[in-house]
Amino acid sequence: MRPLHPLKFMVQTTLLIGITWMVFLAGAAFASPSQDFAGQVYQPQHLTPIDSELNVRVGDQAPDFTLPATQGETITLSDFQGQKNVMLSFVPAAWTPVCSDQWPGYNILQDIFDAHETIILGITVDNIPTLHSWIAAMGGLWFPVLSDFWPHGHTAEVYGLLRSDGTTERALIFVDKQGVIRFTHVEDINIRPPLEIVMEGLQALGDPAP
Amino acid sequence: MRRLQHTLIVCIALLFPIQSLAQEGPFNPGDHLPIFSMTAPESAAHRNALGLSAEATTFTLADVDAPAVLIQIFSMYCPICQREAPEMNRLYELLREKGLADQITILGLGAGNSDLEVQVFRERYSVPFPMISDPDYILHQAFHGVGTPYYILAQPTDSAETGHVVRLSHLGAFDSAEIFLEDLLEAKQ
Repeated sequence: MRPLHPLKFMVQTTLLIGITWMVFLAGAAFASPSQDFAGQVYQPQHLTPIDSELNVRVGDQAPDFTLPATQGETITLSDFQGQKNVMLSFVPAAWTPVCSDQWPGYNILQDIFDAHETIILGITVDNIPTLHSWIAAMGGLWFPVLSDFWPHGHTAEVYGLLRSDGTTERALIFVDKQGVIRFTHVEDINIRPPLEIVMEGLQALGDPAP
Repeated sequence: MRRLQHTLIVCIALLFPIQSLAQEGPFNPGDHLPIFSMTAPESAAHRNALGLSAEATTFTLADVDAPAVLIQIFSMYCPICQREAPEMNRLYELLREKGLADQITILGLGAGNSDLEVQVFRERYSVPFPMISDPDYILHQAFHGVGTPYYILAQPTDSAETGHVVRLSHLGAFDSAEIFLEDLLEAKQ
């Protein structure tokens, strides 16, 4: 081993202790949060897989909404009509392990989304400052993240995705350029939806309208 | 079926007392790895890199024809793994440049990653070494469910029953391929 700078050694040791504690606290210890998040991510217990009833169906017009985005502007779903397909990615809350392990993966898929003329809108019930810090910890994202904080979880509620504890389901809703819902998927909150599901949703956008 | 497997794993995991996890964490040099079975890669080049026959559908580390194996636990969803992918490719090239390709075989395990997720990661970064999917975290659990990326250099023992012995265990990113290779060569026996 090469000699370590004392500060670096301290940082590494602290990190290791943090990780050991995370493993200790993790219980089922499923997600493998990237070391970027070591010690920063809250470890909840196993949660009720799905705790709400989806309010929208394939073929429905997607309920419109306007929400503040982390970049400072507001974003309105219907503004994308005629321009882009939209994948709404609802995740339960910032700083939770599976979520911290979901959106960074979409960072390396931008060309796949571009090829399907689709933008991602990430949505959580957290306020903008929390989302800002969380996204910075993820190393940034190429797509906007919207804050459904106030009235709390209102958009999630309209879609039937607000859980009884005020977080949202882990859900993917694919909306085509006409504003019509073409694919929905509500995942077990404890699990990240596999990429196969995302691809299925993107494919559905290319199918003939129902 | 996948969902059922998940449920079963969660149930099994919940049966274990929390202390059993607290004693684990990353491996230490000298520890023996558990024996676990992996799905053989489809690519002929990757089978060749691991020394597997064209017929093999599954394999264990004991089947890998190499004096040492560098295992990388990664995830398509892990930003550090994404950033480090070019350095890992560099490490692979360095082994070739220095004539050490036969000495250390690199094997990636995609913790919680489906076949498609591993494929996307591999294609995005043009990863030259074999990578195995682990959609249900079975392999990840064999490595104590550590964070990603995680690196283990392991060598075969005389007895197939005791599993590979850990020579180096590194959690998190490494500084550079050059320095990491020095560490690997120093740890290897």
